Amino acid sequence: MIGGRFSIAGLVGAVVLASIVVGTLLAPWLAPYDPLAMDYQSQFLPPSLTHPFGTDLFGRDVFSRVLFGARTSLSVGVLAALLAALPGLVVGLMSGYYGGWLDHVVMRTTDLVLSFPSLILALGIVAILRPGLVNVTLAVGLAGIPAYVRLVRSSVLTVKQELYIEAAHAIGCRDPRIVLRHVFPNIAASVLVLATMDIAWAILRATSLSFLGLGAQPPTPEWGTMIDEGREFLRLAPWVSLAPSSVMMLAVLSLNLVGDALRDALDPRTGSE
Amino acid sequence: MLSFTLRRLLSTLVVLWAVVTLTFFAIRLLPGDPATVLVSQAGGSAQDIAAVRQQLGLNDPLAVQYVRFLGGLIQGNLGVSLVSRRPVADAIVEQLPHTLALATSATFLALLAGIPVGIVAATHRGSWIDQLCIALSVLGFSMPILMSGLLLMLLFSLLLGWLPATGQGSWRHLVMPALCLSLASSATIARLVRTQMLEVLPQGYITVARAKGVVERVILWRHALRNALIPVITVIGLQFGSLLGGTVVTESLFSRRGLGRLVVDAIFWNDYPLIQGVVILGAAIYIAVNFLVDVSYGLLDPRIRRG
Amino acid sequence: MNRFLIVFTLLSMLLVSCGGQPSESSLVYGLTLTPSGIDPHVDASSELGIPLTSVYDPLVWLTPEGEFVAGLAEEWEISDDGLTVTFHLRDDVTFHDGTPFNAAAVEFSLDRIADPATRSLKARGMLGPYDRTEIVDDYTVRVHFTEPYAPFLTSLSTVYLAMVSPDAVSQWGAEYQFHQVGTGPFMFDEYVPRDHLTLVRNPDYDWAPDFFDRQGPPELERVTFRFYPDVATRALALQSGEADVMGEVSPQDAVRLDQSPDYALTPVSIPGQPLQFFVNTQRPPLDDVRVRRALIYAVDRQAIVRTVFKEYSLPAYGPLTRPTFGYDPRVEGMYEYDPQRAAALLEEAGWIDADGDGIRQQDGVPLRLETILMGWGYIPEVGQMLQDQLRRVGMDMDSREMTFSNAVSDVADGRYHLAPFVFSSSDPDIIRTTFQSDNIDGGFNWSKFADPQLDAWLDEGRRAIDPEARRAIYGEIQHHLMEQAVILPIRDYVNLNVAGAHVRNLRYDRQGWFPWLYEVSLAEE
Repeated sequence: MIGGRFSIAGLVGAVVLASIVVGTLLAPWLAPYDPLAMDYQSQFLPPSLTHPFGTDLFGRDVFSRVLFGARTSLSVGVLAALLAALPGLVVGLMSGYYGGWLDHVVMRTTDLVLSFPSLILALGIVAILRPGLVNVTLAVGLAGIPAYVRLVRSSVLTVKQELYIEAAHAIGCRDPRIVLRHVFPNIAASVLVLATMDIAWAILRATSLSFLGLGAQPPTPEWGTMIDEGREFLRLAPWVSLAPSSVMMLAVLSLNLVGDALRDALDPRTGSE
Repeated sequence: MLSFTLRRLLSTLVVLWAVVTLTFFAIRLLPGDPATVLVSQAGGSAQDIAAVRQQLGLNDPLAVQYVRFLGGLIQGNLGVSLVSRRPVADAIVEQLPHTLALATSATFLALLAGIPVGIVAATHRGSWIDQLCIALSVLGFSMPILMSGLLLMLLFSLLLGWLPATGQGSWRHLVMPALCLSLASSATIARLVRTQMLEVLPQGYITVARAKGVVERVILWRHALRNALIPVITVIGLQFGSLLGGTVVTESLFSRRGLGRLVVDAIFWNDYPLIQGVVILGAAIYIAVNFLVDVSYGLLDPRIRRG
Repeated sequence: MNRFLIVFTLLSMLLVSCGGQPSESSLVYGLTLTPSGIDPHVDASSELGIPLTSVYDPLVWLTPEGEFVAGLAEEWEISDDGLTVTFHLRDDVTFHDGTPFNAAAVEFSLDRIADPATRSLKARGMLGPYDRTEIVDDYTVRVHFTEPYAPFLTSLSTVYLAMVSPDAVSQWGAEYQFHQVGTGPFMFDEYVPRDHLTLVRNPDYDWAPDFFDRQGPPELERVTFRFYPDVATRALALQSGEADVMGEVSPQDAVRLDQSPDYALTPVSIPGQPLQFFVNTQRPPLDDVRVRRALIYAVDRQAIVRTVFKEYSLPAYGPLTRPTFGYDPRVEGMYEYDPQRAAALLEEAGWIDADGDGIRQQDGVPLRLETILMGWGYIPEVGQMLQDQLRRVGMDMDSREMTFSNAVSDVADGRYHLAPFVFSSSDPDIIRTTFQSDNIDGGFNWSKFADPQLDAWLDEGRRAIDPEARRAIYGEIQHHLMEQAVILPIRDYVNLNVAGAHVRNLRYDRQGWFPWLYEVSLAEE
């Protein structure tokens, strides 16, 4: 499906992303220490061969925590993006394809949801559901649905005008078949691009919620919580928050680069020639 | 035109009513009874809590409270904060200018950085400059405000001593928070400008202009950018809402006043009237800004004005 | 496009407010939380007392040594039955608005606190069984109680029972918190919520108590209080010169600043209750006192204090902190860190790790404690260490960090084993709030501990006018509470105040929170 070439930035992003994902999967074997094991005597040891990213307030190995934190943070990002994309896709398809009162209701509802600042919305959802990773994922995901609904709906509206859809109608194809076989493949690409970038966005959003004390529950290693915990010691032990935030930046950066490259590769108008 | 505006206004009002209603009922799902929260912080007894519940009217049926709230709202009365006992409107009016100042200057900075980067990237499409611009803008997007804020503070306040780290009072206090807040939007704007420019540049009227010998700079800034900006403005409208949300973190980090912190505290303390007030106001601003965005289309694209 | 940019530029410029330069002998004092309201009769925060202690004079002062000396009252007598206290007032004191301070002002102030319409969150409780104030003459009042109330003088020495100007309160009504008028060395100038609070010198101040280093008006002309809710930026604001004094600096920053000659650290231990986890005594397995005791033995408080709070805090061993009246050092020996003993107690109670997963079980149920954490005061950090230490004796801990509102609702539903809180208070009577059986449902008895003997002692302690008898009662109470192991004490709360070296004579009252800014002077820089 991805025709043509990936840009260099996109390739770099893909490689970095792939290594982070591999690191995440192999965390139990790669991590030199138990990410939860405390050793009070080793508080704030600077990076060294034994502790590549140093140690934190409790003498825990920051490198191991960053590795395991990747599991938490990436899962939050992927799940939240899925949670936004799947319902958004279904609702957007139906709304765009059938139009009429359904479309009207859907559009007014997304207007409604969009008029709440999204962080405040997520904050409110977490406050109601109670803090914790699962609820953060839910909140960030739910707050992201309208963006997909709008994207999918407008793509469907464009696709609907195409001749081959009319042709499909003419030869008696039923609606679900038309939507699945003809409309969906045309918008899958843009949804994929949005979802890739959304993973990055969800990771960042989860960080904000962690800062407000609503994120992952200690001692679960999670990037946002680790960054926040370390901020207080930034001058004493900068590695505690710089290590997770650098890795997180790399992850978000590579997700965005990959997303960009996907978009360029999928959309001939903006792609590199 | 007039009937269009009226219809739009009506649908805006309906959305606003839905926001109000949704907010009213949703915040009552917050775990924890406000009276208990209020009294508990001072170590009050069970008896005190019952008394405060009665005083706050929290014993009335929800429907009665809703009608009372809606009635007040129509008269422009947002109620009284449970925690500070001050009119919600006063609390908001105090904080609003600070948040608006932050959000607008962040938007301004985002445009200031985003538009040139986007144009340069577009005109050098595919080259290393393009790649660099993209990478730079994505970098801005990737940095959590928690980190960028603290690093800026260390650099500009502690090391260089150029800017105050916290608080408000002058434009110098605004620089770092606005910069932090603008990073993500400037990245979005840069990418959008690039995409739009790439779409506009190959079009007929640009080719015509080139053929007529119009200077390239004029083509870029006058002809191409003008058309490329329409979606940018839409996005700014959409992002203004998320900027208001983004101020939550920025304001806490830089010890600034503002609506963001006001609403977080209100949520933490279950201060129903205050949450209602801020959320409704936020939604109203968002709706208004997007209304203005619609209007500004006409200014930028004569075709829409005529149509 | 240009139009668009210009509009935004103008808007941003318009909206940025302009600030003035501070004058010479002014001080900027950094506060932590933004208090919700700052009327001392109504609101409860400690933050409000930090500025307002300098706006109001108390009827009686509590000296750093713990003695009561004359304030706005020159003398006082407590009746033999303990039901009335008679105050002879100074006749040369005026409020900042020029009205005279007299018996009517005392009556007005105390009645205002007692009036249910005031909705007092803290002061009403501190006033105890107050009945009424009788005006004997212009400068003599008699305060009547329905039963003897030992903490009264201590309460009176705090800002919460402030003597307010009746004229000002009548004039401003609900807005009084923005226009407060007292008799103190500083006058209330301006309060902009969430931004700053300013006090200015009272040039007519001439009634300072003898134990202060100076007399007459204060040296500082102006004190501005600003709010720094994010702990990571507090030391930064101090070091970049934006604040002269900063409260509640993080322990790690305190260590760093303490080593610098440019800063002076003043750690102040706060009376009241320590940072403690209430142990839900009604929920299994914590209904078994052996498990509760094992819990305390299993926790290495020294290690927690060393790691998180540094050398400034002392580990807590009982329900009261060391500087509190009636603190009984006997509790210190009751639970030395002893994981073996904890393990033995757990075995005795029938909790054994049969499947070898490191967590003990009984009848197939794992030993697992649900713990509420709140995001302030290093509670999440303490929680993580607790989890680590409890696991070493085979107890699993499941912690949930939440907002105070969520915690209150979870506590109401009984959905917790351990829940943390700190209460600062001028008087040991505070433990009625947390341990009297009346406060189990809806109140703050989060240990859900009901004990008639304890209830009786708590009432007795409140009524005992004789200090020595009182001390003995609270000694029994502390001992009893720890024998029943109803709390897991962690550390005495210590407020780490850091000031620039140019700030001289900064000291704090016995509440620990409140600075006596009256004495402060600034060295030439």
